[in-house]
Amino acid sequence: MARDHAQHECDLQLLAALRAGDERAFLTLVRAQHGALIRVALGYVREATIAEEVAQEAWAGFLESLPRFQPEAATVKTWLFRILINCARARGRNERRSVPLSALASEADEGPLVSPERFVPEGHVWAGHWSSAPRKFVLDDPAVSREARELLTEAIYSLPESQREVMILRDVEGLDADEVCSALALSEPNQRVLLHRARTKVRNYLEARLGKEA
Amino acid sequence: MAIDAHVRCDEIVTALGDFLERALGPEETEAVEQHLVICVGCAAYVAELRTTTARASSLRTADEPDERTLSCLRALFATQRATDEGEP
Repeated sequence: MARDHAQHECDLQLLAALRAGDERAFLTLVRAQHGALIRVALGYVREATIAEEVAQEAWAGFLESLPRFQPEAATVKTWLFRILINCARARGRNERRSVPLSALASEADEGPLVSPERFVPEGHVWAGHWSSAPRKFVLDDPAVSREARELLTEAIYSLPESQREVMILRDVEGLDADEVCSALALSEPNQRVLLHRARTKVRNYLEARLGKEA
Repeated sequence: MAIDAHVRCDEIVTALGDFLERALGPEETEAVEQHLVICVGCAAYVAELRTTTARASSLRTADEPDERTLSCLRALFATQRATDEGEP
């Protein structure tokens, strides 16, 4: 595809510059991605100072791996995120990051996305339809905007690790599905399932705290 | 899961992941879209899901690394470059 080809060409140019010792090219990449590395690292460790250490560790790993990096196998960006995530997971295990909201934290969540109580029970002619309409919540209302932002952050960073990873990369950092699958070594269907579970949990959490009767 | 014109709301909720990612087949996509036209509850649910997703991107700030961080990373780059040039 045109975009993939253009992206590949950019990556080849960047790679050549980095391997030639072009500091300006490296700092351009740092300015573009360092903030994202910190935000993703905060999904694994509690403190900003630790997240900064993780990000620097990732940059060190990235630079050390440059001679071996194969642009046919991944983009520079997904390669960088893959290294970051490995560093962050290792540090997160050591830090034993707590998950404050047990309602969102269940990793082995194979249950329904929405509580069955929200739907008309089996045996009724309207079985499976909403028993009461979802409560509306407005994230852009100035009256709730700051609270909503805090709740949104709280909800996303309290998700189970696999769901949190996907939602932060896709919805916060804006990576596309292919990039997230590459960075996290996920299949496309698995990525979709994790993303939908994450988004649903966050949406339901916001509804519970901000929702008004429709 | 097969989705047809008689799809239930709880089935719609489960299928939304694939629907929003455009991973459903054309017939299933149309069935979901038709349901969203007639079901106020599901339409509201999807709208809020989309809003939540869109709002998540606002958590991304444009902060650039401070000078101290850039200085550390410059040193890191120089060290790695020296290491690479020193290798046989």
